[in-house]
Amino acid sequence: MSVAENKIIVRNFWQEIWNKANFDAADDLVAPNFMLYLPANPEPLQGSEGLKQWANTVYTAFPDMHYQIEDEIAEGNTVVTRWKFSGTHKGAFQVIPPSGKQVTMMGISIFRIADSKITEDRAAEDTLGLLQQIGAIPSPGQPQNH
Amino acid sequence: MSTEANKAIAYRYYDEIMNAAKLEVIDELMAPDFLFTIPTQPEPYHGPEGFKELVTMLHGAFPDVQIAVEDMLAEGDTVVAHWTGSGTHTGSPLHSILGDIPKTGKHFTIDGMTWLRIVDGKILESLANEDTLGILQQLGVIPTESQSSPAQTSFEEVNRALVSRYFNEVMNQGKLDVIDEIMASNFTFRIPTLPEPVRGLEAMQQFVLGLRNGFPDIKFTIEHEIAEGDKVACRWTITGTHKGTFLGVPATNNPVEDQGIDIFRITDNKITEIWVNENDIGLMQQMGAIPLVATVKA
Repeated sequence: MSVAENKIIVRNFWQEIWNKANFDAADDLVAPNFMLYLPANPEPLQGSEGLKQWANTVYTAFPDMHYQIEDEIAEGNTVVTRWKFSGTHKGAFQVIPPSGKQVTMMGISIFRIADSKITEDRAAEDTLGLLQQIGAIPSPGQPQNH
Repeated sequence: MSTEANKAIAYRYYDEIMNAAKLEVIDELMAPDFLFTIPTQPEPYHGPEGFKELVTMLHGAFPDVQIAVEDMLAEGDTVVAHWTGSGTHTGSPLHSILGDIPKTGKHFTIDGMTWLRIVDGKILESLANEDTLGILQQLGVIPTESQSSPAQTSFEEVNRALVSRYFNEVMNQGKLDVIDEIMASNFTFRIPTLPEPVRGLEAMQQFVLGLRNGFPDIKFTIEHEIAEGDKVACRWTITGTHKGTFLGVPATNNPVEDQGIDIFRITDNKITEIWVNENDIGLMQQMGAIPLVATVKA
């Protein structure tokens, strides 16, 4: 596989699963042994089912979720995306009740691809910033109630 | 510049600036309009002088701070590093988005990724993302859900039990299936004799097989153990007989002894990381792979 083809697979991943909420696309895009590593989860989420479950958790909380690709590079069997997430917190995010807040979050994801399937997605993202924006953790520098 | 040349600059950024705090290297590697951003800092840092402030603040707060590069990828003028950062907050206050945090005495280990833009041999931009929540929870600034004293005690007991199974069942008895039970799938094992960490359960099984092939009668004895939070530290000694090839050294049948310290990190009842420090040169000498040139006759 060329790096150009790998980039297309990763763009489809962002577009279909995260921007169109077409969760079934996960079955075609990721390998059976796919692993999703997120800083907020101690254990990786596994397979297309793990991915769909997490995508659904985010979608439930932020029904207008959108991942903007800010930049991307590729080398060998890897593709790296620098992204900006935006969404409105209209539903419960796990145990956190909806705040109605509009949020943005920056992150970087490293994807590994084998035989045209994504085998790994490892993300670094500002979980604290997100929790502050939806009011789950106070931000001392900012007014609390507006 | 080639991507390989850019990666070499990125390694110098981590080794000489972030880890060794050589401020003069900042003047050499950073462009005059260099920009550094990271979510735990309220404002970006501008230019070489601004970046010196950040590095000085970081080393002041965490005198033992280490950024270990796990992976580096490059295309065009971009280099991306995936790293593990760690340190102990025993120094000056940590400047952060939550204000200045006075010395907590606590240790942190977190994951991060940095996007570096390098043009004509100079670093123009460093955009970092790190586990912002993780670091502030580990420093005790933000509470975690499972923080209460009685729970903490039993939690540390559970961690000690895992470490005991690691030494007795995996290392001393060679029960490879126990690795799957007590270690996380994203397990990392760092040891000075290997240039890259051992990652994952299968790779760890191979490592243990290799060790026990070299020393079939290997025996670890725990001399001292400390458990605190999500960590267990063990000072150990080993004895064994060098009956098979190990680290490329064919069997000598020499009896060997080694000593070292392992630091275990445990998450959700699984070992996720082991950092090993041992007397690897002494071990190589006992196997006859390195002559005892430095032996002093008293």
